[in-house]
Amino acid sequence: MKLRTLVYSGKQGVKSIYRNRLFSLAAIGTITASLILFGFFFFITENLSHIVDRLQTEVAVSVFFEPGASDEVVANIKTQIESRAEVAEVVYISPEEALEIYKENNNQGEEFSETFKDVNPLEEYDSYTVYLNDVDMQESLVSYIERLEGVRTVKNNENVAKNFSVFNSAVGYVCTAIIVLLIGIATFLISNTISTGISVRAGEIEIMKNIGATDFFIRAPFLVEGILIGFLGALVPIGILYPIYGRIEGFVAEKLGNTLGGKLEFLPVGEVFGKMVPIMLAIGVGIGAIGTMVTLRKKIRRY
Amino acid sequence: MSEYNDILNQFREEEPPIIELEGVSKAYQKDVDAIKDVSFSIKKGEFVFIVGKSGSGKSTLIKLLLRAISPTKGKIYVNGRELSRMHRTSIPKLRRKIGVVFQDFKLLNDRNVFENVAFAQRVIEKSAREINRNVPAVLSVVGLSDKYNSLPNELSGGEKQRVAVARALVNNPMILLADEPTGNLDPKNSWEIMTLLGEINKRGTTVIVVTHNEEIVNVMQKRVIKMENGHLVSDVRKGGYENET
Repeated sequence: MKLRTLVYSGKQGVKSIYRNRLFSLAAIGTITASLILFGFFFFITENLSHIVDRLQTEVAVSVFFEPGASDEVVANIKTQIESRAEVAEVVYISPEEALEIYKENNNQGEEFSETFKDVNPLEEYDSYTVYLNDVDMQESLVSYIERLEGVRTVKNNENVAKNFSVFNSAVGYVCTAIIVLLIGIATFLISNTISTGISVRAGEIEIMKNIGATDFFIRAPFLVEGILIGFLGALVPIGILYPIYGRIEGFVAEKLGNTLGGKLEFLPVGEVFGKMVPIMLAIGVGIGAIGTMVTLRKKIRRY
Repeated sequence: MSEYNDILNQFREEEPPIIELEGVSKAYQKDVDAIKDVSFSIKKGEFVFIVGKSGSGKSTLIKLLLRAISPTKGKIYVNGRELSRMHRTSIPKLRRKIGVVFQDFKLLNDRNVFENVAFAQRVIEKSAREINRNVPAVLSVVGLSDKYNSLPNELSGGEKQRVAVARALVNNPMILLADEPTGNLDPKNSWEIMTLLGEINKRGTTVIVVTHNEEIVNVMQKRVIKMENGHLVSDVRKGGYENET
């Protein structure tokens, strides 16, 4: 394959897009629509996953000991909990710290401190706070800890992260189904565009065959056409989504920044697009190439 | 001169044929043969007419020679290579050795004369310099040096066919295969094209003309292979349309 042949195929591919401009526009439009939808789902899933990650750092379970449990038993509980892979950290909370936390969480004032100056009602409520690195493992961890010797009770924290995680998975499934459907439609439209190009150039293809063109020489311009359509179909939504996402991110930061204890924060534009642009271009080019190859296989007999 | 002709003819007799068919049959449907048990050979530099009515198997023969289809039975050799044993990636190389001219010219109507001829060179990846050298040379051979920039719809039928001949010749084929080259032309243009093909033959190219133009065949007195209902019914070295075997 010589460079001039590549240049020739490229030129022919571009010409063909122009010649069948209505079909080309329809195919580019469908890919654009599909990828805009993909982009929105991508924003949702990426940001939900980001929020879940942030919330997960706060997911913890509290482990209370049997009254009178010896230091050895308490230390043993810690060792066994730390042996679990899903455990990120185990922190000991003394009765005094527990009282202080209660006071802070319940906005108690000086009167509360005065009342419990000499007596700590949580004297027998020292505990471990266990932080997880995988929120999905919380239930299994709890049931494990409950079976340990010296454990009186285990309490789950309110699990916002878990709910987010479930929602994120559901969005992911719906997103995948819709995208698969749209990619199917886009591939069909590209295939249609290439079919039209083949019909328009049927005479030229016949001449090429008769004068000894290789199979690649005949097919390459169509492949260029399909890949270019896919590429353009991916570039357009990237251009449309970039400013939109920037505004959404700004809105969330400004209006919802304090929700969920400051954890509701969207990923920066650069980070999202750094991930999304290569995926979108790969999908666009992939749809173009696959749609074209399927059509060429059906429509142009080899030699 | 005749002494030289005899020596050359003897030399040609001893040369292996450039085209050879051995008991070739082709059936598109089961038990319906488009051509049946056809055998002949053509030497390098020969001028051969293949004649016959519609449906006699002439078009099938052309497709077989271009390896657009394969025979159901028998063997075809072109320049010593058996076509059915040829790998499909070698087929373009075979076709570059055979220039083809069609009744309906098959020109690209959106490209001028120069580009139509250059197209054959682009397909085989010739450089721009080679194209700029070869295309004017071949257009001069077919007498179209003044028509470089004309589009096909600005040309007469005869001129269109000259462009098609130029395109077939530009890659220097060993064989020129003309399928009813005068079918769409008036008698004057038909003779001009046949004269041109005769000149090309004199330069050493093997020329095979499929036709049912009786007058041309009778006047030119070249080798005539006659097909009828898929059978080869006569093969006469210097004959006319209705020669008997």
